[in-house]
Amino acid sequence: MERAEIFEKLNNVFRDVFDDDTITVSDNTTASDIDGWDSLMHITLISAVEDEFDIKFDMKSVVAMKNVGDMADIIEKEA
Amino acid sequence: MKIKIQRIIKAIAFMLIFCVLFSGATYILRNKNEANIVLPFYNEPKNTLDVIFIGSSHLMCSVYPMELYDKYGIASYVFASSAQLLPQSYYQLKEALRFQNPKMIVLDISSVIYDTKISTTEYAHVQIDNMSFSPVKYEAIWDLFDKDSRAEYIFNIIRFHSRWKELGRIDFLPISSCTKGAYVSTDCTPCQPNRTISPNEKYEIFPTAEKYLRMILDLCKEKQIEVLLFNAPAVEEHDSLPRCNAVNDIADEYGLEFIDLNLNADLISFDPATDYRDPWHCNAKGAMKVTTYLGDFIDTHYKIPDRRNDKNYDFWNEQLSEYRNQYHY
Amino acid sequence: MVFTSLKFLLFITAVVFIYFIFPKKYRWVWLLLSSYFFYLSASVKYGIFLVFSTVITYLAAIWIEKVSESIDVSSLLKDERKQAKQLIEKRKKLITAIAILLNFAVLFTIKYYNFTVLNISALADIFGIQFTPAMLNILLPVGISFYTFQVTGYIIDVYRGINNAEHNFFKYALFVSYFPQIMQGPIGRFSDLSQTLYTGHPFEYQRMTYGLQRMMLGFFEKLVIADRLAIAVDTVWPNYQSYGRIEILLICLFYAIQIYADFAGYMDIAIGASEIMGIRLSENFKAPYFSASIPEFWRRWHITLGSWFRDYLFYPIMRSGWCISLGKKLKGIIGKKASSKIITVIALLCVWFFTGMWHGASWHYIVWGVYYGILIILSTLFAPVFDKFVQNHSINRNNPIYKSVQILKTFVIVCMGYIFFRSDTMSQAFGIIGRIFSLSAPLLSPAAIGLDKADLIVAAVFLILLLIIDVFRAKDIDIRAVIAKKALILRWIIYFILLFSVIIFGVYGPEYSSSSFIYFQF
Repeated sequence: MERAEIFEKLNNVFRDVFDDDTITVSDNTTASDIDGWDSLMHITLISAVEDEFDIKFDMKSVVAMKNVGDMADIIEKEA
Repeated sequence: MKIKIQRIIKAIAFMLIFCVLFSGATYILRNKNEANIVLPFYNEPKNTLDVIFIGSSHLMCSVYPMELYDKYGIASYVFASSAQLLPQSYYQLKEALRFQNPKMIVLDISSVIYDTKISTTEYAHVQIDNMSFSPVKYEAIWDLFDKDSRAEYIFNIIRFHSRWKELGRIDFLPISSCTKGAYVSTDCTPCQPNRTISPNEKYEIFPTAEKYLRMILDLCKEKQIEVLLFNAPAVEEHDSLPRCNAVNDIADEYGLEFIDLNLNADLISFDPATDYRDPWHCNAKGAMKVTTYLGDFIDTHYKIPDRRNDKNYDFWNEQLSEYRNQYHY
Repeated sequence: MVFTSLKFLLFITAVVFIYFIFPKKYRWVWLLLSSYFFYLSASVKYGIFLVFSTVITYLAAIWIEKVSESIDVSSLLKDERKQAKQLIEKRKKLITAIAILLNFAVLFTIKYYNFTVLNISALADIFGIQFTPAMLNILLPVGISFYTFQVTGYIIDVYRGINNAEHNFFKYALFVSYFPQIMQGPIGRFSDLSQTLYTGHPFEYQRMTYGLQRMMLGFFEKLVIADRLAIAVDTVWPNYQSYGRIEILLICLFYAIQIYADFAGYMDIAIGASEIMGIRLSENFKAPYFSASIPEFWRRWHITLGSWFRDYLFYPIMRSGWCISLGKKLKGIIGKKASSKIITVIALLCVWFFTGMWHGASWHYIVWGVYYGILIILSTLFAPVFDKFVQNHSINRNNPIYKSVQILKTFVIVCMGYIFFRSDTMSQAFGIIGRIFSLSAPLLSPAAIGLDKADLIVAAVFLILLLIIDVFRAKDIDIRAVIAKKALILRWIIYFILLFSVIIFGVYGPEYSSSSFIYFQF
């Protein structure tokens, strides 16, 4: 999958999860950039991304991913 | 390199300022009990005192050095502190010898009735806190206190820092006094003699007290200082008479005189009804009797120079007139 | 050896001094020796538990690594590869579980055994079964709750592949026992700490001054503010019946400040002391009382504990096969959103139950934890409703008044929670709450609260100072850097004022009271 395509899909997931249509994510987007991205939403987000791309994140990825770029890297590898 | 030197200088300067502020704060905050009586000792010119009185508040209240000077020309100082036991007196003497080279000391032996090194923490602070900074002070702290309480004597701000609430004028003003260590009081508490034990009974001195008494006597022997053993009138301690009696043996052993005015109050026609400030201490009336007796005794038995016409002691005459202006009894 | 003692000051001076004259390569060895000296000076017996935890997790981590490397996956066919991976995963999981179990068995036995059997016997009593359980009489080894969590985090991180196992036993022992953090945290992560703990750091002037300043701030918070307010709290709390409503409310406020100044002060001493030697510890507080919501409060209060529970309990529960399959089942019945909410509620209750329990083996701690659990669940459930409300009434969330109200609301909720936290029993906590709301209680009572006017004024003045410092912390500005830019004289005046505030106004040393002094006795 192209990285641009991944980000396009991710944008949709984020907008859906955070209920905010103005969100556009990039490599450097972190939890502090998005209102409401706390540990609860993190899990919801992870599940939504997993459903969207039909992959499974392991615990290392869940805990250690620092920004959306990291997330995209894993998706790129797994999908 | 330049930065390095700059930083070292800065660090040293910081620490120096800290030390100055710290000792200032320590002095301001510390309890000033008896400071006005003890601290002027350090203003006495070096090696000018011929007689030094070492002991507890018994001495402070019963011996008036200014009277000794006025009548006999004896230059003396009562270098004492409340509830000072013999172990403390040993260090008090060593402290005194750092500044003065007396011909004789008069040692208060009333505390032979105690077997401990100090009486209470508060009184120990009164003595130790009034000492100047010197190896003697640290030797005393090391010996007198257990390891957990030494810190509060080395840095007494540990105990007294919470006094910030009750600071008064005395904490900031320079301390001065012209009584030469005497606590002059005209209060009166009529007392009754309350002897219940026969003065002829005899006990051993407590080992701690004896050990330090001997240390004091040995030190004086070594420095060729005359010693007069002394006990002041104190009605409340009549029952300790027998133990004080035992001092006689030690006095004989060292060939010293021992004046026990608590036992032999008749010698000075001491009147318990009028001569006590409180059951432990003489007032001015009682003190005059004790001082006169002691003065006569010292004058006849020891060779202490008369300083009244000595040019170097002119400041004593000034202090005496100041004393006369201030105290009337 | 407590941080606020002369002994510790001597200790840290010696440790730092020798650290910098030690050969760089072996400076960590010196830290290990100092750490064990520090820990064992509390009690030599406790050392056994520490060594036990260290050895178990050290060995387990290496074993996990060995298992991962035992089968060369790349040489296998695709199907075999998957099978082998599963086998490895299973073994790793088993070793991790055993290691965690052994550690928690110790913690459980020492800290929670008595509590558990007492509750079981009380429960049995309801059903008419009476027995007197045998009690254990072991003092809690200092820091056991902290280091047990730290080694557990380590072993899970190795299992997850976040960091490698440490092969040098002594280096690992240092990670567990490092003296600034062993008593009260911060609970460190191996991936963070290992980066600065083992390298011999050169002496750096700025680090030295910054570290000392931070320590001084810690002493200030602890001795001047926390310990002063503690006098009032300890006076009023156990005797709450004799006090009026205003005094009790005031004491709740005092306790909130006390516990923050105490804990954050301890952290500042720990982090500052460590900073001098060039070792960075995790931050544990970020001006928590400026939080606008309870979840935010817990991201800023005892940060390392919160993130521990997040990474090692909350995420695993949420991601567990059990939860996911339950979620799928529920999804068919009540829909996706609701099912995920139910799962979250279960996980949150679990996390907060254990967070409460971690603080102590007593119901009032558990209630305190669950109190936060329920609040956070409510705030999650009602967040959408609330958001809509804000939107419909076009309330500006960045409005300072709105923000202040939020902060105040959060602070009040936190103070309420402390009533459970500080009380010794549940009945005491309810007694205090009852006292606050009972109209028959007087507003004020003549009973003394243990602090006189002078002390209260001092406390108030220094509280303002703490507030200013927290404003900087909330804004992520290092106040030390701000001061460093000022002129030398001004800087030094600030340092000396702070330093002598601690020396003069600190609550320490034998209690002095002028009344205990009778003018001369003999």
